[in-house]
Amino acid sequence: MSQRHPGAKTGMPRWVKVFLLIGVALIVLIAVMLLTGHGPGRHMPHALELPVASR
Amino acid sequence: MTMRPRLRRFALVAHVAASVGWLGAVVTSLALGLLGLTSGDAAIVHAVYRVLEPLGWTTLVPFSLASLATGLIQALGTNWGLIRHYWVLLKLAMNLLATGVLLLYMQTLGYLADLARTATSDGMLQTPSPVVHAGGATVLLIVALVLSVYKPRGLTPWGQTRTVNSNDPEYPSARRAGITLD
Repeated sequence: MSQRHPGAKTGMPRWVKVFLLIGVALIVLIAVMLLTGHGPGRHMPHALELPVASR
Repeated sequence: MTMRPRLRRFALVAHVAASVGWLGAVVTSLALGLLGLTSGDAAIVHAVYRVLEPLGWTTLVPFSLASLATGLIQALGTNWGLIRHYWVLLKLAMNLLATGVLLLYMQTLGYLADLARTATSDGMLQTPSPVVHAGGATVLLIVALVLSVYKPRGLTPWGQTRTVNSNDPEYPSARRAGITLD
């Protein structure tokens, strides 16, 4: 037998809001790092001087 | 469609195995990254950066994709649903984020492996990057593990509008009776 959830239409729990804030900050950080050239070879500026095997 | 109990348990075992395997592979990568960063032995440093890439392709990537696939099956095949409970939805988002970053980072691990084959100086090769990425992944996977075990309350707006039956884990009587559907 099915029935309606008794406490329907409650707001978003606080723990979810905290998770969302951290998640948005993380995604913004990743986006900024990708847009500013973070990626293969960008972690070690001086390593770029080394010969790299062809890929 | 809800799975039968025997199939549901099998799917749960598959999801736990894939997720635990992923966490183990990430912690192994973290340990190797720390070894590569701190070791003064050139042979060890080169070996670490050469092994991180194959370790990623043979364990990290397969386990992450398996965890994602079995998690989707587990959510869609049980009363938990995929977008009905916040903890399930957040675990899905975290899994997608971690898998996406991992697939992007495999390029960096390939680059480091190439450098390790050709570099003549360890100082130029040693980088905190694998430690930072594996450390972040470890934290994320432990948070996902905590969410899985504690299953904090909270129905999404879509979940609240759904008609639920008395076996729903958010339904107070089910909670009081200790009924869980994982």
